[in-house]
Amino acid sequence: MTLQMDSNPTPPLAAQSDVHGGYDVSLHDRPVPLPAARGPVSAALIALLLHNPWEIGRWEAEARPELRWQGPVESAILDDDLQLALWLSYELHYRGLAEVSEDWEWHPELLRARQEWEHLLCTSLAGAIGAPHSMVEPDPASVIARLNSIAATDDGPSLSGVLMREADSEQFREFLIHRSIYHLKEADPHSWAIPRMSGSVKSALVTIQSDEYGSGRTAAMHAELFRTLMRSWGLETGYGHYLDLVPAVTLLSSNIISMFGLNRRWRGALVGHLALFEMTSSIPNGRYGRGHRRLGGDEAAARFFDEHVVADAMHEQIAAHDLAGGLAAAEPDLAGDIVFGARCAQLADQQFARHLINSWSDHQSSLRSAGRW
Amino acid sequence: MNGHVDPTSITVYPDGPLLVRGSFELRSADGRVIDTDRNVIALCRCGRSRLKPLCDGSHKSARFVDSASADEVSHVLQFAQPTARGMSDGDETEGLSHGEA
Ligand code: FES
Ligand SMILES: [Fe+2]
Ligand SMILES: [Fe+2]
Repeated sequence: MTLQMDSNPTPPLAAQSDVHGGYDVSLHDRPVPLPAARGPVSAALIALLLHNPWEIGRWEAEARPELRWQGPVESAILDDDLQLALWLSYELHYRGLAEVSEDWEWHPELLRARQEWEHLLCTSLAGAIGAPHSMVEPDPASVIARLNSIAATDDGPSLSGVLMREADSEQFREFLIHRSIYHLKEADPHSWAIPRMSGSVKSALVTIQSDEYGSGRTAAMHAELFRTLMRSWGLETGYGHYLDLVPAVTLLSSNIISMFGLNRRWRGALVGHLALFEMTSSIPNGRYGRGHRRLGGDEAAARFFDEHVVADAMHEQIAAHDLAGGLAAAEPDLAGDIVFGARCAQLADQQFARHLINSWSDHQSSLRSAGRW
Repeated sequence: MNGHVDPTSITVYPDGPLLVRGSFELRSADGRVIDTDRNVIALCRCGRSRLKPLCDGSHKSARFVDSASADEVSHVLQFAQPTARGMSDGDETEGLSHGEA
């Protein structure tokens, strides 16, 4: 694998090689290949992104008509076209999009359209679960009590129960494919909260995030544990590899956190979202782990689940009390947003569980057949 | 650890585990030191974890209740008696019946 000084202008090996001058770059994610469009808005967005952003002509005061999503607002949360457009616009802030100029990230033309999409998403979420204000008394004890009661309601179908007891290997693989959209960048969206917090709230957040990132050990990063798990199930581990296969409901969970993370105005919701994540993780992960072993899954790869049982039992306390409670004490005005974020996490999780369970009980795949819109 | 001036802390979380933060050494009763690279650990307080001594979140399904307020904890430490919960001041048996399901 040493450098070859041949005349080939495009050395394919160098790009794929694991070691560059001693640095291991094998785990460095590459920009996501552009997916197939799922409707007029994502089609227009993809077409636009393929242009040089500074050569698209005069900017208008309003969002381009072709980037305006026209559906009924209540269906925004589960619309493939809109969720894909949002996901692509957010991905510019994470690993980027292949063949797309990096200058699009903060381009006003894109941001203007995205602001409308975000507004639709928020309205649609609030329509489903209620508006953030008046959700809770603005004090830490009430916020923590609300979070506990949200975490304790399980009126949705139990996906972890199905995976533990009856899912077959194909279904287990599908579950991992859906989850790869988030878990290969696990913890990244919540890290946007770090520069927005300070004092004890920040240290609570960093305590959690540090574990998520493996406390400095690459192989222990939760995203890498997930990659190992995927590999053990014979799945592709490239970042965003399965984008075309996952439906709107899967993109929704990622989009909600990205929206909260990229808008400082939603920092309360971001914290509430993380708190609910952590508070509803240990027990399901214990069940996923049992399902994985029941299906003969690799013992070492089960570490992803096992680690979440232990780490999240601890994160749960820090997230509810020190982080969410601490933020509610520091900024009481955010109490409603904290609860709103938690409810959004719960809603996305319930919709996701329902989709998988319904598909499977109809003997269907829960993945998209990647057809054209 | 090195250069750290904060004392090691043990936080009693309501209806949940004990969190140990700071420099600590985990030992078995025969004095052997158990290796761990965790910076913070959650120790089960409800007795229902499958991963004792660690908490695995089972306290919720076990409906473990112990509010562990500062007043209660300090009362217990000072008087070696549970607090009387139902405001029935002075009724000793009230105190003894503490510990609902
Ligand atoms: S305190 Fe959490 S399982 Fe016992
Ligand atoms: Fe994690
Ligand atoms: Fe966690």
